[in-house]
Amino acid sequence: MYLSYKLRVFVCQAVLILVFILIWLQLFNIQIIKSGGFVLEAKKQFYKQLISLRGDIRDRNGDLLALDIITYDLYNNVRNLNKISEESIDRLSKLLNISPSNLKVKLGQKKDTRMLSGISEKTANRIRKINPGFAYLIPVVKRSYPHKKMASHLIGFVNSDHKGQHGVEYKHQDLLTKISDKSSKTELFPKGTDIVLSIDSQLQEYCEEELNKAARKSNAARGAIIVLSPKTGEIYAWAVYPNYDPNIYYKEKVLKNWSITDIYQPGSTFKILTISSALENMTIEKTSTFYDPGFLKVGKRIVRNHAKNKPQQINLLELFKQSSNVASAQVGLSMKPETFYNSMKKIMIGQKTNIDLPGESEGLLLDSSKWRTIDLATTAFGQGAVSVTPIQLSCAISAIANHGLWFQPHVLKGTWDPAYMLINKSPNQIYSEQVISEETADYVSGLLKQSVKENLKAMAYIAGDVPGYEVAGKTGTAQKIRPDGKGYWGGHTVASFIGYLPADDPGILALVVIDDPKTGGGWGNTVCGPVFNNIAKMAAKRFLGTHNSMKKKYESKE
Amino acid sequence: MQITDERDFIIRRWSDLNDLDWYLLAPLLILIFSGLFLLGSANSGSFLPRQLIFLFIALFFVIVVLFVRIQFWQENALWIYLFNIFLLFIVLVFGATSMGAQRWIDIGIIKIQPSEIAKIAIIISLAAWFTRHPIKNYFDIFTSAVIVLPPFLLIFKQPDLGTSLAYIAIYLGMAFWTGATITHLLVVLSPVLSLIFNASGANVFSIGTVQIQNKIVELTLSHYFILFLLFLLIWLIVNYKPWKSPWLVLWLSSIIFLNFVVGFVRPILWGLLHPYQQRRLTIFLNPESDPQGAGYHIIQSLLAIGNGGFWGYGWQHGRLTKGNYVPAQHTDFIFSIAGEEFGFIGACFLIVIFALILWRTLYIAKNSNNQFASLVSIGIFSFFAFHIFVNIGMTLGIMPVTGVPLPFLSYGGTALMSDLFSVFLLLSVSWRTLPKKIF
Repeated sequence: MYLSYKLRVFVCQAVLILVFILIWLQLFNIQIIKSGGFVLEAKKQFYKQLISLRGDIRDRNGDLLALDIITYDLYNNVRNLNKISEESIDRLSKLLNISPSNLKVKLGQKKDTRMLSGISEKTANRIRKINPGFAYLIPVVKRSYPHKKMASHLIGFVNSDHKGQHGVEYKHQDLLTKISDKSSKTELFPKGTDIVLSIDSQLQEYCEEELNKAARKSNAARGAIIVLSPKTGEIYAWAVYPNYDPNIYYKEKVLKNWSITDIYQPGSTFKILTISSALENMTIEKTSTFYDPGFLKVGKRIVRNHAKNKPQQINLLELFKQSSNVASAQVGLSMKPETFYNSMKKIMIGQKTNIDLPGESEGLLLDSSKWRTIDLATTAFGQGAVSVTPIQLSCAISAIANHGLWFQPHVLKGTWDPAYMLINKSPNQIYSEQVISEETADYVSGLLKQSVKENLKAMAYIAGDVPGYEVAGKTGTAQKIRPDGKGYWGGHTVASFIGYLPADDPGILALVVIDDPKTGGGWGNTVCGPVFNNIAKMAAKRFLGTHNSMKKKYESKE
Repeated sequence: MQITDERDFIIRRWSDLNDLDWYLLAPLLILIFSGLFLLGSANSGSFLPRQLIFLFIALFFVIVVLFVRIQFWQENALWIYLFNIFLLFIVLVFGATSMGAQRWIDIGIIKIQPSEIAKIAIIISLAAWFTRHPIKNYFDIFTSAVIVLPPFLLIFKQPDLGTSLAYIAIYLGMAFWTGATITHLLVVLSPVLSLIFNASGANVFSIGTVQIQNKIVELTLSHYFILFLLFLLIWLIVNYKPWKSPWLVLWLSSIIFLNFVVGFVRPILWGLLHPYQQRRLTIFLNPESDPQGAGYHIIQSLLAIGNGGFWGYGWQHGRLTKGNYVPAQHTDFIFSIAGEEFGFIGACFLIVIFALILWRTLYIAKNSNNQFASLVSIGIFSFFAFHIFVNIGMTLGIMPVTGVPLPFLSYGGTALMSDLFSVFLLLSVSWRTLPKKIF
């Protein structure tokens, strides 16, 4: 289609006109028709940039653990210096407790500078009433942790950019900063979602006190207490020694939440898992007995018990009672490395528990192909090829306690509805799995209960003495690996006690770990036992009272 | 556009300066002053003095252009073209890299951007070519396209998508002016159109569904592609009668083949683009999908312009521009400053000025008594029109973000230089080749 010259000029002109009309129309659309919407959007953007609050963090009873506080900074306004009047300076200086001459000097600065910070809302309102054109207020948000050191490892802190670091502040950052439409429309400073943790402040505080006391008394390097519910995986208390004050995190030296980041060799507490998996895999029977002469030769190496004993034939109950390494080693040797390894994997040893806290370690479980025979024997009593994080061990044992059902541990209980003072359900799905058969789990629980009972009677145990409750539990005294990784470190131990109550249908499980105690012989029983007893009593008071009455209610209904 | 003997050219001297085309010069001066005003408001302070220095240097060089005969450009078109290719090669090898693209030659004091100079070089060389070989058939259109191809590819490689697309715009405009029919252009464009149809079928628009005999058939990219080919074939059959020509059959089949190749190569070409280019090309359809990432530019620019309303916030009082929300506000998004600080009134004023310049350029191209001069004018027209439409369209959210500067307003020494050069070339054309009685 050939166009004449005139027509071509016309096409060019038409295209030009069309294009400019299109641009003009779009301009008209944006700047006239939709302008109001854009102005609003822009304003919102300023506010968003200025300040948005993180949600509060509360404990399971609604007690505030972390909240945002708005304070104001006062700036001088260079543009309106001519508005300074003697009268308003007088009033302002009285309000702020600054001498008028000092205030004048500050106001006379050549650039807008901060004169005062940390002004409360109340004072800020008074300043606004004076309405000094020569100074203005800028809101500043600050995260505050009213309980200071309490649960610091669990909560974490925010950095200078108001971004969460460590703990729940980091892990649930999205939730805490998720601003609902309602809040962004109605509030001057839109606020994120409030969250509720499963911990109980009173129990938490008590656990921390006890842990600090015990750790200081035994001059230990570090310690940890985990109290959780085997029935749901909820964390009730999470004490870590040493802890820090999140309000002044930048001055603190130790910020590590070692209960999930670091591993230790669990020692005798691990025997619970060894026996369970041997029973589960039917390499031993419930009635099996083992010959224990006090030592066992495995290849060139010799496995010994903690204390010397006469040669004897012992059953599983005695194994737990005396915490016999030799008998445990025999149980371990009854299994193939793969069998043992697979059972451990199944019960989530050597795997992340996926607790909602950052920085979790996988633990350490050497691949079964690398196990030597001696590893099979030593791993059976919690040395050798296995190292766990405290949370991992707690969860594995809580599966035994809870009839073989493993729950993913979690600290987020739900979100807080400020209008109705209600806890909404947690948006996260909790993973659970039957990791061991109910029969085996209940049988091992029974053995543990019996062994604690008999040991208490014989005055061999301090741990597990909680009046009114039957406790199932096990002490652990593991030798520490030398810092250079070559062999074990004589005289240095990790003392621990893990126990749960009531033994038949536990509502509470508590693990007490104290790393490298210098007193009490470094035994799990002597160092951690009293601590466990105290916190178990407290936890029972806080949680099991209702639990028992509930149970009775159900029973009466039936 | 009468083709006249070169001797008919009017010889110009200093004393004839008052005969300059003030219809072009006046809007230009207004535009340059507006540009300096806007730059003075752009957030990063040091751009205004530098742009002023560039302006004076550029004016000094560019006034010389006024006194160069039009024939000079025509005679030296080949050298200009070769020199330009040489510069682009230097960029390819020694170029300075900034913001992920290798576009500049660093010569110590300043960095020059040869892709901006290349626009003028292409306009002049295409004009020279078309003067001798106006487009008469399909063959001509392909031979002339070969001239644009090397600089196009060299700049596409830098990568600078916007500028390389500008070359296509320049080429299309000039080819149309020299007599290419719409069918010709369609044939040249058909691979590009196939590309767009193919790409849009693949991942931009949601494709509709068609019900055929109770079966719902989803239209895929290949369907679109074949539909387009059918359309093209019918168009060609209707418009081209001499079917006997075996050449035509050959051409048609090769074009169809080319279209198919494009269809298959498209995913590969798309993969060659940088991810940021891919996102920028498609994000303008839905900027809200990535408000903090690829959509950020468009959203902030729209907010700023919308925020301006009818009157604007006043010079240096734009909230989003002063608050540093709008990125690249001294270069590509300078129109946002105009929109926010001077409102609808100010934006319309700028648009009118641009329209005046373009209209006058078209007028000069139409009335010039020399084929070469006329072609140069239409080349400059296409160049400005493309830049203005794509840049303003980009700030208004109706065009993809491709990094095309706004002539005379955006900060940038080389761009200012080539813009001024173009306008002074136009002035020279108008001065020398417009019949006197028109003034």
